[in-house]
Amino acid sequence: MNAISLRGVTRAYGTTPVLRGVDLDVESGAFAAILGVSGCGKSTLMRLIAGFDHVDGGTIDLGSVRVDDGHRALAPERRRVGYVPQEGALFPHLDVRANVAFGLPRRRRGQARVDELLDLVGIGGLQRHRPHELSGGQQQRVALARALATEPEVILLDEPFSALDPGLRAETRAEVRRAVKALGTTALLVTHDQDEALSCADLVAVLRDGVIVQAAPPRELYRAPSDVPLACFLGEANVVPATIEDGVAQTPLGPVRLRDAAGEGARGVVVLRPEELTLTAAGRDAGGANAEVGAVEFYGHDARVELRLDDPAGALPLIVRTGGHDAPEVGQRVVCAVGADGHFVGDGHAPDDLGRGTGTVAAA
Amino acid sequence: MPGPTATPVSVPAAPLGGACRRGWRGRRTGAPGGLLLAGLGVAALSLLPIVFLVLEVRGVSLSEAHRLLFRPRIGRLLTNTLGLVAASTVLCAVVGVAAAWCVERTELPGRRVWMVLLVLPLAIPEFVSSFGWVSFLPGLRGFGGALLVTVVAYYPFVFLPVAAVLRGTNPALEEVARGMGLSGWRAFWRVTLPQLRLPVLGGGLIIALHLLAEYGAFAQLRFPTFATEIYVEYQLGFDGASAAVLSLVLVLLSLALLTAEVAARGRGRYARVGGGATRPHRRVRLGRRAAAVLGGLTLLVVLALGVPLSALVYWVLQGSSSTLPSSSVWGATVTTLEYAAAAAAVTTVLALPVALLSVRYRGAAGRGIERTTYVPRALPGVVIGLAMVSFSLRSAHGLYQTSTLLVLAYAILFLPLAIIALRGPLAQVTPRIEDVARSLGLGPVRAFLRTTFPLLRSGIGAGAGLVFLSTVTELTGTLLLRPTGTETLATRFWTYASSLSYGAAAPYAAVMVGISALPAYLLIRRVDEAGA
Repeated sequence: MNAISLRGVTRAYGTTPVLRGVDLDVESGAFAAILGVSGCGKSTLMRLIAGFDHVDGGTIDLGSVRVDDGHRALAPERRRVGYVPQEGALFPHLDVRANVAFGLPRRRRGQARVDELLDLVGIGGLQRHRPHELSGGQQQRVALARALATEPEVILLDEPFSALDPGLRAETRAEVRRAVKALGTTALLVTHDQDEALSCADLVAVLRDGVIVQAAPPRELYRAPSDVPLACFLGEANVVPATIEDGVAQTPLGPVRLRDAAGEGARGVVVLRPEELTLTAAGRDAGGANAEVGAVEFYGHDARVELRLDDPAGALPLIVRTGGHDAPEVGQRVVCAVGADGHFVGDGHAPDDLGRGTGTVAAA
Repeated sequence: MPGPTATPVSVPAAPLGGACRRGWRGRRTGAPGGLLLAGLGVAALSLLPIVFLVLEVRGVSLSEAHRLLFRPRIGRLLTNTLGLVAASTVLCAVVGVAAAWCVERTELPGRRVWMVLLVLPLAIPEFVSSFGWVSFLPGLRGFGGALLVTVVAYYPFVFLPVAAVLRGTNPALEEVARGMGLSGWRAFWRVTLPQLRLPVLGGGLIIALHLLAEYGAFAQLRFPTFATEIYVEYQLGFDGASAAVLSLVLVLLSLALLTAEVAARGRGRYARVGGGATRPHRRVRLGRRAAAVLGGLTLLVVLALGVPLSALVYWVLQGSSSTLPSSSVWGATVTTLEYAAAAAAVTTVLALPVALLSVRYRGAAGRGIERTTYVPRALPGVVIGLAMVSFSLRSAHGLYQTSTLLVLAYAILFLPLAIIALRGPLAQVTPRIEDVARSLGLGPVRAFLRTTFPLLRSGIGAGAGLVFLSTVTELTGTLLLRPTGTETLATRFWTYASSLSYGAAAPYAAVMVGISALPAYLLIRRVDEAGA
């Protein structure tokens, strides 16, 4: 059963449409993420689900209850939706204990329940602290414990990690996921960080220009994005022109096998991630295309190599990630081959920046 | 622990049972209907005086209005009023800036003491300080007297904000100017002074509005202005028409001032570019000039504090030798405190929805409501008093000469103080915490009361305190609206002072000054802490 179900949700501010028909289903117990650049409407979507704002059109169902149909909306306090906003928004006048116990009925505000929740999010023993005495990560965990205290059906996480420094972010993220999963609560995380969405969600829905362009499990989304800009948004990608012949894609890199079938004769591009390409020194006949190394960024554990293909149709720039141990030198001649099945995007889907060769990450 | 999915959904079967009614969802502003309604009510209350002033004026025929307006007396009132406003405001600005610079930027000995002494005149109501002067120098009359008394009473309105800015600005600005070869004096003129434009304008506006509204001080100094004339004409002949026409002129003058101030303020914002902690300014060595500076400041303090306070002490001592009805001082004090407490409570309650609308919902409705509540700033107490009399006589008979009407008048008069005091703390409270409280199962009102409201205590306290103290020293409106037989400290004082019974009047003034000293002290502490 779906814990959250949106159908054709629209919302405009004045004459500016923010959401233009959002469809989304999140299964009960899943950890889902909505990924989008800032200003794409993801916070608006979250506020609609929480009930702080109301849809112009479309419907929102939580479980079997229709909470908003564009005419009438259920008040937020009756939706059983927990909410963890950016920066935590702890009640500054209350200590940790009182924050966590805030939503509990008086008879259940016992010490035991609060202890249990704080242990669950990994910060037992901070009961008497005031919000300003906590670190950013601790504040987020208290906010999570507070939201989980009332045993909501759904918990909404609105960019809860973006204010934390990178090391703390990964740790807090893992802790939050573990706590939410332990209770079996359905979670919806809003974020602009691709790594965050891909690493902690079971389902990632990409919101762009007010619509969900694709909703899929992280691996599928990364491997088979529905269009080129999305591919580039999710991570660096080589976008190579291709034609389908004999069931494989003919590209300047040679024939590339495809993960999904494509119509014979179709023209379009193949999306190849930098780590899906392999390099060998020129001369050893390994099959592939000849190229020259243009630049190398060496990171130790791996290296990012920019190549220039000796392609008659025009020198095509490519990006390859190789292990740090066999990173080539600038100017070296190499052979570039495809080490994995490719993902084909036909012309019909591909927007205008098709022939650019290399897509760059929109918001790395 | 059982998973939350196992808990039954507590939402009723009819899914939209307790739903928000869409019609009440102000779509543009997003403001809840109840809040909007409350705000509109407060705005309507604020417009009450203007509406009834206009109603009174409409009762006057055109030829009558012409006769009332174009007589030599009006010309003289206009020169008196405008001349005093111009001269006193400019002098206050000069005195205030000079004193603030001496305290903040020179190696003045005992500067904390000076700071306190220079702000304390704020604790003395103008009609009390003019009483002090007149009781010592009965010959102090007319323009010169009025100018002297108002300058020494009002310069702190410029001194305080200027001192705060002088302390807060980045010293590097002046150092850069000096590095470019400007002399100290030219650096002050070209770098420091422009930064003082906003505090000087703000303080000057407050002074000018006070001067337009002041009745008590000018009545004692026998210096007729619009405000005194309105009161006299109303008292003498119950001449509603003439008083109303003059009131309208006075309101237009105030509105012109407010508009001029907005225009002069412009879009200027003196942003601090770049971060870093504020370094204290290097202080100017006074050297041989120390004597002159100390002499000047001493003179200012003697004029502003010494004369009125010693007059009070002198007359209290004189009075106590005669038969002093101390029980009536006690009674008037209790009455005054009761009115002040009622005014503070009512005003704060009225200010809350307006502040919420203006800070949380910046829509057209919220902005309009907030601006409307500032309209009474342009209405002197005497005008609000007269308008409320007109309101009670025309539309609300039951209210005439009741304490309810008086408290309402106080609320209209002092609402801007309470709103401004609430705005700052409210802006610092993120509305998100109310969202969170809603998602934890609280209804909108309980969510507000349990999250935002406790965080507004400082603002509520400050606003209520300001209203309380302004009410204690309010004279004109109280004289016009008080129920028969009700005597506050201000009205008792006024009765005795007007009949030249200085000894009998002084104890009432002393109590008022004692009560007002507290906020002045708090103000000083705030400015002191802001920089130190």
